[in-house]
Parts: sequence; C-alpha cells; structure tokens
Amino acid sequence: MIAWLLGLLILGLVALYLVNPPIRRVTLSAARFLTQLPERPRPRKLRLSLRRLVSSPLFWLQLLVLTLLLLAVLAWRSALAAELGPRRIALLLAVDTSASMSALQGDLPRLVAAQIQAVEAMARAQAATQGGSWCARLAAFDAEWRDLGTFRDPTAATAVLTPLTPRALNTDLDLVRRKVEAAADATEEECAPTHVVVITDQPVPAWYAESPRSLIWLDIGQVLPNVGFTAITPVRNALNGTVDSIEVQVSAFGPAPAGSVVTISGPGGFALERRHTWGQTVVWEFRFAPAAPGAYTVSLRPEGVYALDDTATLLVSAPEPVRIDWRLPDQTIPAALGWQQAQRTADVRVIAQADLAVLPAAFDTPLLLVGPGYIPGPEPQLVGYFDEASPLLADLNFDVAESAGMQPALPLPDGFLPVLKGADQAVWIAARPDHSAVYIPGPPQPSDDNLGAFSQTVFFNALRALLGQRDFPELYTLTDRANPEPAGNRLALHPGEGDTGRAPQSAGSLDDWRAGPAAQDSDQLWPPLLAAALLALALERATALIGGRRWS
Amino acid sequence: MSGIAPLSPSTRAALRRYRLLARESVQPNPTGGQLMRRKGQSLEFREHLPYLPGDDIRFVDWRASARHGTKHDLLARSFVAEERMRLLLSLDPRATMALPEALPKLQFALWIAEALLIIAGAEDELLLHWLFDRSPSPPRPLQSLGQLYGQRAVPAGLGEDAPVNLQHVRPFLPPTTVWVIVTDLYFDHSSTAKSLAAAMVAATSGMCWVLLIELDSWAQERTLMGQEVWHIDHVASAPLGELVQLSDPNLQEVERRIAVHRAGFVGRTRLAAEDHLLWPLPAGPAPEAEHAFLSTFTSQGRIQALFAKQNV
Repeated sequence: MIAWLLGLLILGLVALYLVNPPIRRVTLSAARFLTQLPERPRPRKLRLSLRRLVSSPLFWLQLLVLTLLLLAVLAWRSALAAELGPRRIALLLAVDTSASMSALQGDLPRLVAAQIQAVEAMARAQAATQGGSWCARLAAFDAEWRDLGTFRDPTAATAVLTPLTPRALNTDLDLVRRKVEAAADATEEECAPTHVVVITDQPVPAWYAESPRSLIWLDIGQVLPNVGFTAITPVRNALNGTVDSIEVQVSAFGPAPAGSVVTISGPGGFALERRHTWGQTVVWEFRFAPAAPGAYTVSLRPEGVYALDDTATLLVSAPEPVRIDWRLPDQTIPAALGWQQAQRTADVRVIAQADLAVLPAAFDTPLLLVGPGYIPGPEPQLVGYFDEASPLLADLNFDVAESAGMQPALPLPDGFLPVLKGADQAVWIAARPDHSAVYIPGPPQPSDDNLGAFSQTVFFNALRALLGQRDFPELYTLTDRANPEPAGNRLALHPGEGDTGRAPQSAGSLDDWRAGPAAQDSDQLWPPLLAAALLALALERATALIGGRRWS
Repeated sequence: MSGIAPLSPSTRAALRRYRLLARESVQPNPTGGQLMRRKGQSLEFREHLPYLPGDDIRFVDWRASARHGTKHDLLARSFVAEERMRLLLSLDPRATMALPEALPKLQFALWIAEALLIIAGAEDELLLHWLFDRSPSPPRPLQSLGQLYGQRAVPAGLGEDAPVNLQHVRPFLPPTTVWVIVTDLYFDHSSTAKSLAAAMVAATSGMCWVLLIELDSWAQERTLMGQEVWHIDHVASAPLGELVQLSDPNLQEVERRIAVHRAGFVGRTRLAAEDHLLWPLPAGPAPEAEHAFLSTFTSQGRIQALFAKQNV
C-alpha cells in the first residue's frame, strides 16, 4: 500500500511539473500600457511542458526523495517477504572427523554430538524454507576434505552422516577456509550453497570475520579432562646418531587428575615407570635413556577422554657408522673412531684447504676444510671478532685461541662467513650459513696440552655441525591422508588434537539462521536507502530556501 | 547599473572617421541644420549688404559700391561670426530606460551621448543634462566618459513619477543651441509631459533646434512576453494584480496606446515631423546591437545635419 502510494506520488509530481509551466518574471517598460486590456484572459488550456521538468533542480530532488523512499519500501517488503515467505536454502554442511572428535563427551564421542547437530541443522534449514526448496551438500573434513554428496531428503542425508567415524588425523582449518570461500563463490552449481555450517570441536578461527556472512561455526566441544603425550623428542649424539635419551612431554588439558604414571617397556625386558603429581602444573617433561635399539612402548595412566595420545610406540634404531671421505695425510683419527672410509656415499668429506682447487657452489657431501695448522709464535694473536651464537665456538677457550698460533685462512670460496677472526682481520674459523661447509685452522693436535684440547674441540665442533644434518630414522611418524590409521610407531600425536581444555567458541547459531540470514542483504539495504532519502529531502529544502523561485 | 558598457574601440574609431566625413561633405538640411554660423566679425567674408546708418564705416566696400551700388546706396562687407556650436543633450534616466534588461534603452542613450562627444570633439560645446532628477541640477559640459559610465554617473532610483529637471535648462538654451532629447516618452502626460513640451516649444521659439530621439523598445518586449497569460503584479510602484491575455487584439491595443501616447506628447511640442526621430531598438546581443546602433546613428539625416559645415 505504501509503495503504491509512493508510486502515485511520483506520477503526481511528474504531472504537476508537466502541467504547470515554470514561473517567469519579466519587467516591462511598457507595462503601463498593458492595464485593463479589452480582451480578458481565457481559461488556460492544458499544455504539457517538459521544459520545467528538465530545468527544475527542485523537481529532480523531489523525484529523488520519492524514488529513494519507494526503493526503501520495496527493499523492506522484499526482506519481510523473504523472512515470512517461502525461500530457497542450499546448505553446505561440513562435519569434523579429525582424531579429536573421538574424545568422549559423556559416554559418546564428540563426533556423535556433531552428527546430532548436523541433523538438527538440516531440520532447521528445511523448516526455514517455509515450504520452499531445500538441498544440502554434506562434507567431512580432517586433514582431508571429503564430499559426501548432495541431498534433498534429510533421511538420506542422515543415512550418510551416521556411519562417519573419527579418523586419527589432524584438523586442517586452512583447508576448511578454502572450501568455504569456494562455496561462497559458487553460483552455477546445482546446489550452490547459500548457507555454510561447520560443525567441529575447534574454536572459531580468526578468519571467520572475513568469511561469508552466511557461515555458521558450531563448536560442539566441551571442556573435558585429558592428559596425554604432546611431544616425544630424541636426544642424539651428533657424531654417530645414537639416541642417547628420549624427552617426553605430557600435558594436562582441562581439570587435571591428581597424578599420572608413565610406564615404559622396551627390548630386553627394559621397564621403567615415572610418576608425576600435577598440582598446579599443566606440563610434565621427563627424559629416559633407551638401553638398546628396539621398540619401546610408552603408556600413560590414567587415560584421558582422548585415547590416541595415551600410548606411543617408539622405534629406536641402531646407530649406523659414520662414513667419511678423509683426505688428510694423518689417518689416526678415523681409524681410532672406527669410521668407515667412503667417497661417494660419505657423510662428510675432510680435506686440506690447500688441496682444494675450487669449491663447487653446490655439493651433496658436507665439507670440512682444514687449514695449514697451528704454529704458536712468541706474541699472542688477539681475537678481533667471534660469532657468539655459532656452535662451532662451543666450549672454546679464547685465551688458548689467542696463543694457539692459528694461521690466516687462504682466500675462501664464496658463501663463507667468518666465525672467528683475529684482530688483524685474519679468518681463523669460517662456515657457510647452512653449515654445509666449515673451515677450521688445522687438524686436531694429538698433544694433551691446551693447544691439543683446543684444536680437538674445534675439530669435533665442526664435525658435529656437519654430521648433525644427517637424516636419522624417526622415533615415530604421524598418520596422514595416505595412512590414516595408527599402527606400530605411526602415531596420532597431532598438535592440538588432545587439547580438550578449550572453551567452545561458536559463531552464529541456528536460531539466528532461522530468523533469515538469506534475507540479510535486503535487511541491510533499506536503512541506507531511507537515510539517503532523508538526506535528499534536506538538500531539496535547502535548495528551495536558497534558490527560491529561481530553482522551482 | 550592470550591463552598461561604453562603445567598443572599433565603433569609436568608426565614429571618428564619420566625424571627418560629416564636417567636410555633409550638406545641411534646408529646413534644419545647425544655426551656429551667423553674421559677425571674422576674417571670413559672408556677403555685401546695403550700408545702414550705424554700421561701421570701415566695412564699406567702396569699390563694390562704385561698381554695383546706386549713388546714395553704399555696400558694406559683412563677415561670418565664428561661433562654437552649443549642443545640449538631455538624457532620460528613469527606471523604464533601464529596460529591457537584456539591452536597456539607457545603454543606447549613453551610446548616443558618447558618439556625440566623439564627433563634437573640443571644437564644440556639448552639455549633458539629465532630464529627470530628484533635485534640480544644471547641465554640465560633457568632457569624459566617466560622466556617462562612472559610478553614480546616472541618477538612480527614478520611477515614472520622477520630477522633470527643467529648472536650470533655460539659461543654457540661447539661440542657435541644438537641444537633443533622448527618452522613451514613457512618462505621465499630466504634469511631466506638459512641462517638457512647453520647454521644447519655448526653445524652438528661441531659435533653438530641438531634436527629439525616442527610443522604442516595444518590439523586444512584445517578443519577450509572447502570447501567454501574464499576471501584472504592479505598474511602477502601484500594485495592480491583474491578469492579462496577450492575444493579437490586446497587442494591437497596446501598440495603439503607445502610439496615442506618443502622438499626444509630440503634438504638444509642435516639433516638425523630421525632428522627432523614432529609434526602434534592435534585438539581439550587445555586439550586434552596437553595430545596429552605429548603422542607425551614421545614416540618420537629422543627426548628420548636426555636424554639417554649411550654414542654413
């Protein structure tokens, strides 16, 4: 009714300006001769004149006011109709099936709560259409996005959702973000989503603010007590790769139990037990030394609500001998250490700098360049520069360095940066930043004095830096898309999956959605239109006030 | 007054050329023309006249008397009296002269004054007189454009009932004076017209040449109004509030009224028909109007006669 009234007002405004010619005021010098003329004015004929329409600023402003009001009313009615009447909803429903969804909430895994929520979402969507069309694209996500199909029947959709089980995989929220953005851009598909519902136990991510407005993020997770392994790290001997010890980190999420017990069993009857009283702490770290290579099982008691972080099988591999390409004349050291001489498959190559004509820009074998040696002189050589953070200088005594008689390095190839220099800018120790090549002043001296200790420390620091880059067999691997089930030392210790202590953080709700998120655009359109109409009205009044009849 | 501007340099140059031409070649009209040359004392011989008692005996032309005169009839030489021409220019400054707004009649009146100033030059005496003014003011020599176009040069705010300014005019109208009156005649008959007409009759009787230039703008105003219904809000300062239909009969009636008004005034002045110069104002923008002005000004015989060298 209001729209019709406004439409009639617009037509009336146009007719008014068409019929009424513009007021013209002329001043005539001969006006005195125009009074009391014999022929009286006849009734004016109806004449339509476009001139006033075109030339009147007030007409255009008034027309703008009425048009904006009409559009605001139409937008408001459209929003109202969309809210009250039938409409179309295309739902993209994504359910989290990651490892953490196996955590027990009450007696049921979180995934069951997510499935119940998904069925509820579909029912709400169907009800919100008010008899309009409805469809749902179902998907499951963890480290992988799996499309489960498009459904127009809630029963069929439920039948697909019900068999879903948690997988021992991590939750890739970046993958979810990409899929949600792609869904917002999809318009040509059969069931191009108008609404997206993500059901997970992860809190709403930071990128939610930039996501489409029709996204509802439902965090079904509850704060539950869980204690589990969060990190297991080997501590190796850098020279031979032997696992000297294993660091274990146990974390408590949510209300912590009074205490926890970790039992460790290994080959040869290896058995160990560690106890911890939590108190106010939330992280417990301890270290144990494996007795021999083999499989070790680490078990945590009591178990938390998330079972996949309570037990871990670790495989401690036997150390492999160091293969070295030793090109120094003195073979005493490799023989004493039992290192195997190799060339192409060597783990490290040791060569005198004087024997190296040209160092290639890239090479596979780590390289130790050895200088001419130590020739102590009568005067000490002061240290001019040293890289404090470099592991090449670990445990070095600089007083000895100043009296060791280190000879300046020959010009080094490209890429070397000095680690230790004398006051005369002579380079004593240098390395490439990635530690693929190291220069030391000389071979280790066999003497037992300070110089011998210093030169050996320099030598083995360099070897540790070079050999520490070798790939050692991991204690365990993580499940992935290709191997989603834990087996042997393939574990599900994905970061964050065992964190059940987070308070749930959802964004949007199905209640808001029922109020009509599909009509959000229209809802937000009529207020600015109304504001624009009021602004135009103010401008029209100001124009009339300033311009008066001239602009009418 | 806005929109009033002097003549362009090209028009002024054209008027200077016209000045030379008029003074050299234009012949006076037998029935009019300037009266400034008369018998007097100068070096320029005029004619032989019979010697009358009281004439200066030194002017008797004995040779001519012996050759052409009778025994008791002497011939005396008479000479031309070299007098400067006196031209009194009366301009109408009332509000109706400021119309039409696009090209006011006052603009043409000031152009006429400027043109006369250019042509008269320093040799003649040109006096400027405002025909209507709130307080009586005498004519003043017109010597510069500032007297025409300067601020407050033209008396302002004068309606149709403005008092006619003739109190100080009579001393400036000795015989042989040329009195040029420029007006649109849109003033009241009862008092103003009578006073002005009487003054013009007196001037003519006193051996002055009176030239009435009537600026007629009715054609433009008729075009401006078209054939529509108009509400006349007021005439002069008198509120009216009357609707008029400008049909053809009404337009003809207006023209008739203007003609009657004009004839009534001119009849009172007893001017010869050729001394009433009806000057229809051209339509169009200022450049074309200035061109039309120059064309009319230089082609009008009565205006040419103002500057004829020969006496009548």
